[in-house]
Amino acid sequence: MSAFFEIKNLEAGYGNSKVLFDVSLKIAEGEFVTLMGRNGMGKSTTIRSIMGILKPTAGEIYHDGTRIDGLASHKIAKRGIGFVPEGRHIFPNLSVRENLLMAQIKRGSANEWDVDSVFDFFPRLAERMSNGGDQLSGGEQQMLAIGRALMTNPYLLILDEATEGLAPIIRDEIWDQLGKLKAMGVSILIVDKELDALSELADHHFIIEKGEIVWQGDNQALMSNPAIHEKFLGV
Amino acid sequence: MTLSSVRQLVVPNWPVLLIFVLLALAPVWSMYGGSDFTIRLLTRALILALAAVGLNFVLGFGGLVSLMHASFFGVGAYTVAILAHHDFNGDTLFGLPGTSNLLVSGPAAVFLALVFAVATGALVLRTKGAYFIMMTLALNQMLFFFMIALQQYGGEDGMQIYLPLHLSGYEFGSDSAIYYTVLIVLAFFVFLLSRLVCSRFGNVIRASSENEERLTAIGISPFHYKLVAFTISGAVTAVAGVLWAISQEYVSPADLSWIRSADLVVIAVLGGLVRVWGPLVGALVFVLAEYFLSDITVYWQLVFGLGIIAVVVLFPGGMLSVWATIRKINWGRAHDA
Repeated sequence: MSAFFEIKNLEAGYGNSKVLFDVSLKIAEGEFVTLMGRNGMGKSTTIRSIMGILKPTAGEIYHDGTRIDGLASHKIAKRGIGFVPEGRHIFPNLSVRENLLMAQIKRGSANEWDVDSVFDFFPRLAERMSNGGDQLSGGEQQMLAIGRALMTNPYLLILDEATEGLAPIIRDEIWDQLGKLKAMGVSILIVDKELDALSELADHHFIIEKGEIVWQGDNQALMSNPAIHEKFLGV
Repeated sequence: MTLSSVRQLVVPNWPVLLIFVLLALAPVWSMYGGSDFTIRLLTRALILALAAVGLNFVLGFGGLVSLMHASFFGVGAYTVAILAHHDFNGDTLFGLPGTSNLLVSGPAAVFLALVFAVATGALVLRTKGAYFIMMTLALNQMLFFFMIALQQYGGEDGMQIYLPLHLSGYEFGSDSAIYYTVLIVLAFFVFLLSRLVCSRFGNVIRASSENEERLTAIGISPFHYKLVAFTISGAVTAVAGVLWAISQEYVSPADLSWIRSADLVVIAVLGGLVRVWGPLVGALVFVLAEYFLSDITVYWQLVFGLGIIAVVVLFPGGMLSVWATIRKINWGRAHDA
């Protein structure tokens, strides 16, 4: 498969503190890719750099053949890169429905996401459609954050710590839904620590250590190599 | 206290209809026992309410504490007054004749306010928090001192509007006519902004008050939305300035001093920020308290200030949340007992 999203030798940091030294990764259309690593290794910094929230100091990011590093954050999202940030970040002063409606980007293709299809995908949200964002449970907020990203009809969905802090039963529900998104052909880049769940869904894995991609491979290569788990993931 | 919990404490929208009906009956009541002064007092309250409704669009929904809305108010009032002044003198302004016709000077005032809001908004909306407040305050005072220095239009003394302002020949004639005009304009903008707040545009403005970074992550540039909101807000406040010039037949730099800006913030907070019509309640309380308290004591501002503090501390949703808060306290006591 050819890459429709690619990062080449990305470097980034905060002020004088450099966090990413050499991050390169590729995602093919419809692929489910993970970015794993221990805390503080640069996973979220990579995601923030992709989304234009943090300006890279070196390297290149391409989407569909177009260089996107240096673009304003909202322009990157408009290109079709949906983002579910760590901590959910839904808007507490808007209702569930308003949170979704506000995010809608129509791309003129068939089977686009709209409020009804998001409610079909997450029936719990339909039950809470008039509730304020701050009246939802953590799991419901995560569903809303994913639903809101889907409303932008993304070609690539990026999730940062999508299941962190959620009850196991809710986590399972989120994983099930991500599996359905994969089956629909949505490309996904996910940062998470749940190796078991990721191994069932992911096509390809990247492991980041001290700001560099130190290992990459397919699912079989990762699962058949416990030394990698121990060395880089602390599992 | 979260925003949702504040929202739950605030009365629903339907009482605004009752308030408008009661306000519509006020001139009738004044005919049978009240006085013209009551109508003039209410007119003043409704104009300040409209100015604060404009401000509240960015303050209550966008989280932007602007201290320059008096300048929009002043642009509205002064544009009408200056054009009427040239009409009275029979001379021109930049080669154009003056006019007392509000169908010309009114739109001109709103247009100038729109231009002023876009120009200043493009500058101040790049800042946040205390910097935004200070920038708006500085811009407000720049215009204030400019008008004081402008001796041609009365300088510090302000200027009287000598010719009757009219709508292509129709003169208002009475305090009641001006009052109803103000009431209709206020009702129109409350309705319009209520619709706008519930639209996708309004949702973006409300969301921007929470976290702008989150908006960019879903493809929305908050700056452009905020600039449009700021411009609409300034234009609505300028319309209040136009009405002020009609009702007072006099404009003064005091109308665009930062104290007026602060009054508008107080009116919005006092009434309640989470409803478009909250400032209407705030303005009625503000103007009536100003009138009655100043009759009782020369230290009325001290008493009024304590009242504002009490409202902010006890009723986070402003006057609109008084009833629901008291009910909630009583409900809690009943269940404790």
